[in-house]
Amino acid sequence: MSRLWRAWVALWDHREPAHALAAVRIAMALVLLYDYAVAWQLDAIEPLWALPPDGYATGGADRWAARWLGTGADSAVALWWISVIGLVAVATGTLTRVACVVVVLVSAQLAHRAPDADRGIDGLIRITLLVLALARSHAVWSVDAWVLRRLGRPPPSDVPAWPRYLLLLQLIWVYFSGGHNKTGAEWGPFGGFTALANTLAEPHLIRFDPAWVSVAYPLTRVATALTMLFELGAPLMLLWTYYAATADRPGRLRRWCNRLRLRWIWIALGVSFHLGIALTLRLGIFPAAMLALYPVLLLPDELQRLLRRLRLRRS
Amino acid sequence: MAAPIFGYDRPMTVRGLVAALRARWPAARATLIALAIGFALVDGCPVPERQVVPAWATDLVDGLQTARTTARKPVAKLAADLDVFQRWILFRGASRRRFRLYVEGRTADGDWQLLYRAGDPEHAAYEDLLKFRRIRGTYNPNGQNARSQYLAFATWMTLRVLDDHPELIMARTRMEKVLIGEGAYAGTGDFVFTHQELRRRR
Repeated sequence: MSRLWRAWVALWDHREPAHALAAVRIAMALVLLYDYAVAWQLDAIEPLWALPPDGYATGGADRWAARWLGTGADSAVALWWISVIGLVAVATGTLTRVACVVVVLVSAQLAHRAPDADRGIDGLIRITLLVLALARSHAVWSVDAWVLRRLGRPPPSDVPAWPRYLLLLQLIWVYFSGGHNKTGAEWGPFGGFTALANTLAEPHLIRFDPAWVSVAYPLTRVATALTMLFELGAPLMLLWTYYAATADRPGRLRRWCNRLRLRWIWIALGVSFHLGIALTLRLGIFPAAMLALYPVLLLPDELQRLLRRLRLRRS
Repeated sequence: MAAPIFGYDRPMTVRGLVAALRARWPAARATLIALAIGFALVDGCPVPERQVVPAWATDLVDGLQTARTTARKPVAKLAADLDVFQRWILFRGASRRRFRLYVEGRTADGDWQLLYRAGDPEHAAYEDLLKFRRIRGTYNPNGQNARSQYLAFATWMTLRVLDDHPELIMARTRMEKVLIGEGAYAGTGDFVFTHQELRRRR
């Protein structure tokens, strides 16, 4: 037991370069900024987040934002501006930790005002920003790091890795939980794996005329089965990541998993799943926000290799 | 000589205390992370809903729900305030029975004009707005039930239509039940969740 505990403590004490966390921070903030920009462009800020008569929000009247700012159109715009400024700060890494906390608090207020306008992905973004508020994602690619360097106190090159591990666990849990909560028969053999075909023809979500779905119908059934396999198999990603990180250790299963590149197949399936639904369905920021978390799936060495390659190409 | 703190045989100075805390921090952090993961797993644990289990299992499900509520108690308020959760429902049901939104207005001569119908490019007024994920979330039914914000949405939408179209005396939103089959949907002519507003207030 004490050996296990020591291993547990040592696991969460690892350090690594901050690039994966910084990439998630920037990508996630940009994705949510885009969403807020769309709300502004469509003049949807007041309808969504002001209580009647200015808008059609239905909750949050007893929350701190209502006590401080009221519940009318001005308060909706004020909360929107605080979020936008906070997200710009998160993306640029300016007072990063404070900015993360502010965005989470304001986003939660908006969620209370319009519970149906706040989707699952918004909850995931709040969790991600909470973890980033405790992380040192601002050690690279940030104004904070630049200021610290100017002050002669440069941030360390290696930062605690536990926030990335937590986000990795979170991402895997989202898929696994999504998988075991898919209770509709259409997701399984008894419903003929028709779930994706049904979703691709749902009038509120479609991007194109769904006539193409009937042509690709058998393919959508394969894709439904693959989606279930991908989601329910997500916990295996932990094992595959561990095997990839300890590739020099012995073991037939480790060698076999690494040789078959199961981890990369899972990542590729995830990327294609999200790109596929982004192309065919109007789901807003869901695919982009999920993909914004994908840097946490890469091992530090892999990300460093990728960054070196990008730098070489640029130079 | 002062008493040892946390097993450290140093005088009780601030520096000593900081050093002792720093040495214990990895274990404390690992404990906190274990707790956080534990709470997350309890919250996300897939306990089935009472109405979908057989009668013999209802007591078991009730017991599990009570256990979960009790175990979540220390963090329940924080989770509710921040609106964070660990039960992820991504396209839970993908049933063939769906709906399509209609937005219509009636002129003084009694004719109803179709302004918007989901998936119909010929009637696409307000399409950008209505396809925005946050707005869609407030009207697109959850399974076979209307969203909690649907009435508020419908009231706002119909009043907006009346504002934008002075020629209309009444506006309404409603949902037509559609059936999806092999990549196409067909309207059933059966309408639900109808809400209408007369031009009388704003």
